[in-house]
Amino acid sequence: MSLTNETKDIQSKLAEYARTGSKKEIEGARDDRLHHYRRLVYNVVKGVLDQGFPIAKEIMGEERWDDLVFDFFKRHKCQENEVWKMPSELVEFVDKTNYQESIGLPYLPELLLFEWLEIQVHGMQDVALPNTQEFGSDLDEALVLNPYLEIAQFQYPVHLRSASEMEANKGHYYLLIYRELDSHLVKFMNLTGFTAILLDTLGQSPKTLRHALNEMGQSLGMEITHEIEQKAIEFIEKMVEKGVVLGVK
Amino acid sequence: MTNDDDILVGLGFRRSIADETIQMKGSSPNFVEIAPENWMGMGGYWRSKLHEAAERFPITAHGLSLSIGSPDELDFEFVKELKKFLDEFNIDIYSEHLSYSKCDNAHIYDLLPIPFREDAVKHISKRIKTVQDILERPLILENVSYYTPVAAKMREEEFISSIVKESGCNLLLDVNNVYVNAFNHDYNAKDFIKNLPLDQVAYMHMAGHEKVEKDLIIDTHGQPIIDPVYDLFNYTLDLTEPVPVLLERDFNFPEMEELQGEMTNLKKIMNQKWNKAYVVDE
Repeated sequence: MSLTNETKDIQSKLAEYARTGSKKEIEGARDDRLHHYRRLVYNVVKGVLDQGFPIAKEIMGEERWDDLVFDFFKRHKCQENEVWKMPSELVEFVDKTNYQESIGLPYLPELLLFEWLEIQVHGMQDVALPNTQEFGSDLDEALVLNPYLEIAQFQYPVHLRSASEMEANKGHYYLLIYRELDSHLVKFMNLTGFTAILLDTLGQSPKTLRHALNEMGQSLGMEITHEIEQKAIEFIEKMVEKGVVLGVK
Repeated sequence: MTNDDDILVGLGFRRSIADETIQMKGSSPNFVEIAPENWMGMGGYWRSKLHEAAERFPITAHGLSLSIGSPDELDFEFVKELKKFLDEFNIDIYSEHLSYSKCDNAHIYDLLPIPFREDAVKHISKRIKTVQDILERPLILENVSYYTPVAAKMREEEFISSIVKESGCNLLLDVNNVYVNAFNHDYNAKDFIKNLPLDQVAYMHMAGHEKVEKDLIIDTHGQPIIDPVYDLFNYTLDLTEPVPVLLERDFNFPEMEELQGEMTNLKKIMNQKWNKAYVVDE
């Protein structure tokens, strides 16, 4: 015997009420007790999102933030089994609905993404790291990157964490978010367009710096001069110091 | 004869007290329990903490997202991922809630009460068997606290007993939840326990709660265990065989000494009731 439509319908009504606050009569349920389910569910969701997006919450203020959380959980059906990943769904929701337009905060999608990337990089699954040797500042060594990193491009300087700075300084920003291997701490670093593309190219598959620069030269239609090569070596040396490049194969 | 090895008291392994738990001195838990969904798919700092915990303690798992009572189809991918996780950490005891937390393809992230009905018994029993097959472990289901009945056509204890009988699953007897439900729905907690399939109890939970209205208790896990719940635990142990018992505390954490004191209280009762060697002849 499978679940009857009647039982399914009752379960659906209770779940919908707990998720959206839209109340329908539920057979046999105590009206004076039902609201606790709505309250408890909302508190769980709000707690997770408050913790995930402290900067967005502070900038938006309690009321607008609550409205967003309420709207999100009502209109979006969360898919993540692991609640710690659920904040990524708020990022998708805001992006998909252009929520930022309705509240006049154009930088909101990027700010939420910035905050989510910190959570994501912090929790990236551990992978086996290859044995590496020290980088000899040679263009023809195959570089191995720290696998726990994300490179993001923003129009707003979300990393400055200030509403006025974000609104006043629309432009092109490249940010590296990476996790240190030993401390597990998440670090942020400003990149230029060139270094962002270089790291991204190196991260796609293990390759030499020369190979990566040649790929970039072809795709960007630029000549890779000796000076560019030297700058790239200096950049990689800095990345080795920071633990972004682990070494060479 | 029962011996000290059968008297096992565990503590919920929560991030807020992760270091204190791992480094605990003095009377420490025999095992720790985790919510697998809070650790699955996660690497880095917290993964390393979980490994540290696993080096010191055996781990049990108490799930949140299986949603065994849901009208939705089982999430098979999730159950397979869960199995990998349980295997990785050598977790034999995996329990879940007799409730649902996903419906109409949306996670609710909390535990909703299932209508106590025959069709739900059949539906859930079938799903339990499927989950057990995939996990290659027995599923241990917990009697949950609830604040309103929903379209019930049978009594709660009948509902639980029927599922245990039909599916062959084990029971996680949450003594605090029985107390909470008995208070909220005005029934006799001891009678309720007596009518459960106690021979199928494989695990127990003890916790604190919060009285929010004159006739309503919310199962918060944010307070110490109160004396009437200890009394009910005493009563329950007279009727059951030795099983691991967990102290649940999810927030509002006190000093570790207080949690150690609660674990000591539990262990003392368990020894008195279950450990025949503990009884000293006059």
